Amino acid sequence: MEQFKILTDLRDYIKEIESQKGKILSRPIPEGANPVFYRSCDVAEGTELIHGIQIGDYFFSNCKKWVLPHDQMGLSFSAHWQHLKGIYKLKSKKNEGKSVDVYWVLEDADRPSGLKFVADNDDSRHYFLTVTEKMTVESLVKKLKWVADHMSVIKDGTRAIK
Amino acid sequence: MIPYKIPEEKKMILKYADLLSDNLTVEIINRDELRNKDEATHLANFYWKMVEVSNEEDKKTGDNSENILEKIIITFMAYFSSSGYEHEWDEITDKQ
Repeated sequence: MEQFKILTDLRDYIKEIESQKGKILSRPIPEGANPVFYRSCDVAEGTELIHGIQIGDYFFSNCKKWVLPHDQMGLSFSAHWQHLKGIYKLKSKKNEGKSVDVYWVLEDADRPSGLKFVADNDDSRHYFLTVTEKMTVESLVKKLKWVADHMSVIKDGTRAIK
Repeated sequence: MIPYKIPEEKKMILKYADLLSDNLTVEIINRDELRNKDEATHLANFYWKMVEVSNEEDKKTGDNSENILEKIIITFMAYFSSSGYEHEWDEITDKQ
Protein backbone atom coordinates (compact mmCIF):
# COMPACT_ATOMS: atom_id res chain seq x y z
CA MET A 1 0.00 0.00 0.00
CA GLU A 2 1.44 3.37 -1.03
CA GLN A 3 1.42 6.52 1.05
CA PHE A 4 1.86 10.18 0.12
CA LYS A 5 3.28 12.83 2.42
CA ILE A 6 2.78 15.85 0.17
CA LEU A 7 0.43 16.36 -2.77
CA THR A 8 3.21 16.25 -5.34
CA ASP A 9 4.05 12.71 -4.11
CA LEU A 10 0.46 11.77 -4.94
CA ARG A 11 0.73 13.36 -8.38
CA ASP A 12 4.00 11.56 -9.13
CA TYR A 13 2.67 8.24 -7.86
CA ILE A 14 -0.44 8.48 -10.04
CA LYS A 15 1.71 9.41 -13.05
CA GLU A 16 3.86 6.33 -12.41
CA ILE A 17 0.85 3.97 -12.17
CA GLU A 18 -0.63 5.44 -15.36
CA SER A 19 2.62 5.05 -17.30
CA GLN A 20 2.79 1.38 -16.27
CA LYS A 21 -0.85 0.28 -16.20
CA GLY A 22 -3.09 2.81 -17.97
CA LYS A 23 -5.61 5.47 -16.97
CA ILE A 24 -6.80 5.41 -13.38
CA LEU A 25 -10.06 6.74 -11.95
CA SER A 26 -9.99 7.91 -8.37
CA ARG A 27 -12.04 9.14 -5.43
CA PRO A 28 -10.58 10.92 -2.37
CA ILE A 29 -12.32 9.49 0.70
CA PRO A 30 -12.11 10.92 4.25
CA GLU A 31 -11.18 8.66 7.16
CA GLY A 32 -14.14 6.59 8.33
CA ALA A 33 -16.13 6.89 5.08
CA ASN A 34 -16.73 4.18 2.47
CA PRO A 35 -15.30 4.61 -1.07
CA VAL A 36 -18.68 4.02 -2.75
CA PHE A 37 -21.48 4.20 -0.17
CA TYR A 38 -22.67 7.20 1.84
CA ARG A 39 -23.72 7.39 5.47
CA SER A 40 -26.42 9.86 6.51
CA CYS A 41 -23.73 11.98 8.20
CA ASP A 42 -21.94 12.35 4.83
CA VAL A 43 -24.81 14.14 3.11
CA ALA A 44 -27.02 17.19 3.64
CA GLU A 45 -30.11 16.94 5.79
CA GLY A 46 -33.03 15.68 3.70
CA THR A 47 -30.85 13.85 1.16
CA GLU A 48 -32.42 10.48 0.50
CA LEU A 49 -30.15 7.45 0.68
CA ILE A 50 -31.12 3.91 -0.29
CA HIS A 51 -28.65 1.34 1.05
CA GLY A 52 -25.98 4.06 1.02
CA ILE A 53 -26.69 5.18 -2.55
CA GLN A 54 -27.75 8.80 -3.07
CA ILE A 55 -31.00 9.11 -4.99
CA GLY A 56 -29.51 11.90 -7.12
CA ASP A 57 -26.46 9.87 -8.15
CA TYR A 58 -28.40 7.26 -10.13
CA PHE A 59 -31.60 7.22 -12.17
CA PHE A 60 -34.16 5.49 -9.95
CA SER A 61 -37.61 4.24 -10.98
CA ASN A 62 -40.57 6.01 -9.35
CA CYS A 63 -40.98 3.14 -6.87
CA LYS A 64 -37.23 3.39 -6.11
CA LYS A 65 -36.81 -0.39 -6.34
CA TRP A 66 -35.06 -0.23 -9.71
CA VAL A 67 -32.11 1.64 -11.11
CA LEU A 68 -32.40 2.57 -14.79
CA PRO A 69 -29.61 3.07 -17.33
CA HIS A 70 -28.26 6.60 -17.77
CA ASP A 71 -24.94 7.51 -19.37
CA GLN A 72 -24.48 10.76 -17.41
CA MET A 73 -25.40 9.62 -13.91
CA GLY A 74 -23.37 7.62 -11.45
CA LEU A 75 -20.69 7.88 -8.81
CA SER A 76 -18.09 10.54 -9.61
CA PHE A 77 -14.46 9.69 -10.30
CA SER A 78 -11.54 11.95 -11.23
CA ALA A 79 -9.70 10.91 -14.37
CA HIS A 80 -7.01 13.59 -14.31
CA TRP A 81 -4.59 14.94 -11.72
CA GLN A 82 -5.92 18.53 -11.89
CA HIS A 83 -9.44 17.27 -11.23
CA LEU A 84 -8.40 14.98 -8.40
CA LYS A 85 -6.40 17.80 -6.78
CA GLY A 86 -9.50 20.04 -6.60
CA ILE A 87 -11.68 17.32 -5.08
CA TYR A 88 -8.91 16.26 -2.69
CA LYS A 89 -8.47 19.83 -1.40
CA LEU A 90 -12.20 20.21 -0.91
CA LYS A 91 -12.41 16.92 1.04
CA SER A 92 -9.46 17.96 3.21
CA LYS A 93 -11.00 21.33 4.01
CA LYS A 94 -14.37 19.77 4.83
CA ASN A 95 -12.84 17.10 7.07
CA GLU A 96 -10.38 18.98 9.24
CA GLY A 97 -8.21 16.71 11.35
CA LYS A 98 -9.05 13.62 9.32
CA SER A 99 -6.88 11.91 6.74
CA VAL A 100 -8.16 11.71 3.17
CA ASP A 101 -7.08 8.57 1.33
CA VAL A 102 -7.26 8.22 -2.44
CA TYR A 103 -9.11 5.12 -3.68
CA TRP A 104 -8.51 4.22 -7.31
CA VAL A 105 -9.29 1.71 -10.00
CA LEU A 106 -7.94 1.19 -13.50
CA GLU A 107 -10.35 2.40 -16.17
CA ASP A 108 -9.91 -0.89 -18.04
CA ALA A 109 -10.10 -3.19 -15.02
CA ASP A 110 -12.77 -5.90 -14.79
CA ARG A 111 -16.13 -4.71 -13.52
CA PRO A 112 -19.46 -6.35 -12.76
CA SER A 113 -21.81 -6.52 -15.77
CA GLY A 114 -24.13 -3.54 -16.13
CA LEU A 115 -21.61 -1.00 -14.84
CA LYS A 116 -19.50 1.17 -17.10
CA PHE A 117 -17.22 4.20 -16.68
CA VAL A 118 -18.32 7.05 -18.94
CA ALA A 119 -16.70 10.49 -19.31
CA ASP A 120 -18.80 13.50 -18.27
CA ASN A 121 -20.04 15.27 -21.43
CA ASP A 122 -19.05 18.57 -19.79
CA ASP A 123 -15.52 17.57 -18.69
CA SER A 124 -13.43 14.66 -19.97
CA ARG A 125 -11.39 14.75 -16.72
CA HIS A 126 -14.46 13.59 -14.79
CA TYR A 127 -16.10 10.14 -15.14
CA PHE A 128 -19.32 8.58 -13.91
CA LEU A 129 -19.61 4.94 -12.90
CA THR A 130 -22.85 4.46 -14.83
CA VAL A 131 -25.48 1.76 -14.98
CA THR A 132 -26.03 0.33 -18.49
CA GLU A 133 -28.97 -2.01 -17.83
CA LYS A 134 -32.06 -1.96 -15.61
CA MET A 135 -31.29 -3.61 -12.28
CA THR A 136 -32.70 -3.80 -8.78
CA VAL A 137 -31.26 -1.53 -6.11
CA GLU A 138 -30.01 -4.64 -4.29
CA SER A 139 -28.17 -5.72 -7.42
CA LEU A 140 -26.51 -2.29 -7.78
CA VAL A 141 -25.47 -2.42 -4.12
CA LYS A 142 -23.78 -5.81 -4.68
CA LYS A 143 -22.01 -4.55 -7.80
CA LEU A 144 -20.81 -1.36 -6.11
CA LYS A 145 -19.57 -3.38 -3.16
CA TRP A 146 -17.59 -5.52 -5.61
CA VAL A 147 -16.05 -2.36 -7.11
CA ALA A 148 -15.17 -1.04 -3.62
CA ASP A 149 -13.55 -4.37 -2.70
CA HIS A 150 -11.37 -4.18 -5.82
CA MET A 151 -10.21 -0.59 -5.41
CA SER A 152 -6.63 0.17 -4.44
CA VAL A 153 -5.78 2.87 -1.95
CA ILE A 154 -3.05 5.47 -1.61
CA LYS A 155 -2.89 6.40 2.06
CA ASP A 156 -2.77 9.99 3.25
CA GLY A 157 0.42 10.48 5.21
CA THR A 158 0.34 14.28 5.10
CA ARG A 159 -0.15 14.54 8.84
CA ALA A 160 3.14 12.75 9.42
CA ILE A 161 5.06 15.91 8.53
CA LYS A 162 2.77 18.50 10.13
CA MET B 1 -23.29 28.45 -19.77
CA ILE B 2 -22.30 27.04 -16.40
CA PRO B 3 -23.18 23.30 -16.63
CA TYR B 4 -24.96 22.76 -13.30
CA LYS B 5 -26.06 19.18 -12.74
CA ILE B 6 -28.76 20.10 -10.22
CA PRO B 7 -30.49 23.45 -9.44
CA GLU B 8 -29.42 23.30 -5.76
CA GLU B 9 -25.85 24.14 -6.86
CA LYS B 10 -26.81 27.60 -8.13
CA LYS B 11 -29.03 28.17 -5.09
CA MET B 12 -26.12 27.37 -2.76
CA ILE B 13 -23.69 29.65 -4.64
CA LEU B 14 -26.13 32.58 -4.53
CA LYS B 15 -26.80 31.97 -0.83
CA TYR B 16 -23.09 32.21 0.00
CA ALA B 17 -22.49 35.12 -2.40
CA ASP B 18 -25.20 36.95 -0.47
CA LEU B 19 -23.71 35.90 2.87
CA LEU B 20 -20.29 37.19 1.75
CA SER B 21 -21.83 40.36 0.20
CA ASP B 22 -20.15 39.38 -3.07
CA ASN B 23 -22.03 41.31 -5.75
CA LEU B 24 -19.66 40.38 -8.56
CA THR B 25 -20.23 36.66 -7.97
CA VAL B 26 -24.01 37.25 -7.99
CA GLU B 27 -23.60 39.12 -11.30
CA ILE B 28 -21.46 36.36 -12.88
CA ILE B 29 -23.80 33.58 -11.74
CA ASN B 30 -26.94 35.39 -12.92
CA ARG B 31 -25.25 36.25 -16.23
CA ASP B 32 -24.15 32.58 -16.46
CA GLU B 33 -20.82 33.50 -18.00
CA LEU B 34 -17.29 34.64 -17.18
CA ARG B 35 -16.15 37.61 -19.27
CA ASN B 36 -12.45 37.90 -18.45
CA LYS B 37 -9.54 36.55 -16.41
CA ASP B 38 -10.19 38.90 -13.47
CA GLU B 39 -13.71 37.53 -13.14
CA ALA B 40 -12.37 33.97 -13.37
CA THR B 41 -9.89 34.66 -10.55
CA HIS B 42 -12.65 36.29 -8.52
CA LEU B 43 -15.04 33.34 -8.92
CA ALA B 44 -12.32 30.78 -8.11
CA ASN B 45 -11.47 32.73 -4.94
CA PHE B 46 -15.14 32.91 -4.08
CA TYR B 47 -15.47 29.12 -4.31
CA TRP B 48 -12.74 28.50 -1.73
CA LYS B 49 -14.08 31.27 0.54
CA MET B 50 -17.48 29.57 0.35
CA VAL B 51 -15.88 26.28 1.43
CA GLU B 52 -14.24 27.99 4.41
CA VAL B 53 -17.41 29.81 5.51
CA SER B 54 -19.53 26.67 4.98
CA ASN B 55 -17.58 24.93 7.73
CA GLU B 56 -18.73 27.59 10.19
CA GLU B 57 -22.29 27.43 8.84
CA ASP B 58 -22.34 23.62 9.08
CA LYS B 59 -21.30 23.87 12.73
CA LYS B 60 -24.13 26.33 13.41
CA THR B 61 -26.83 24.40 11.56
CA GLY B 62 -25.65 20.81 12.06
CA ASP B 63 -25.95 20.28 8.31
CA ASN B 64 -23.31 18.81 5.97
CA SER B 65 -22.54 20.81 2.84
CA GLU B 66 -19.69 18.62 1.57
CA ASN B 67 -21.71 16.81 -1.05
CA ILE B 68 -23.24 19.88 -2.66
CA LEU B 69 -19.83 21.61 -2.61
CA GLU B 70 -18.41 18.58 -4.44
CA LYS B 71 -21.10 18.91 -7.10
CA ILE B 72 -20.31 22.64 -7.41
CA ILE B 73 -16.55 22.10 -7.75
CA ILE B 74 -17.17 19.49 -10.47
CA THR B 75 -19.38 22.01 -12.29
CA PHE B 76 -16.88 24.85 -11.84
CA MET B 77 -13.89 22.76 -12.97
CA ALA B 78 -15.84 21.76 -16.11
CA TYR B 79 -16.84 25.36 -16.83
CA PHE B 80 -13.44 26.99 -16.14
CA SER B 81 -11.80 24.40 -18.39
CA SER B 82 -14.30 24.68 -21.27
CA SER B 83 -14.32 28.48 -21.19
CA GLY B 84 -10.52 28.83 -21.28
CA TYR B 85 -9.94 29.83 -17.64
CA GLU B 86 -8.37 26.62 -16.38
CA HIS B 87 -5.13 28.45 -15.54
CA GLU B 88 -6.97 30.93 -13.28
CA TRP B 89 -8.76 28.07 -11.51
CA ASP B 90 -5.52 26.14 -10.96
CA GLU B 91 -3.61 29.18 -9.76
CA ILE B 92 -6.15 29.85 -7.01
CA THR B 93 -6.64 26.16 -6.15
CA ASP B 94 -2.89 25.67 -5.79
CA LYS B 95 -2.87 28.36 -3.07
CA GLN B 96 -5.38 26.40 -0.95
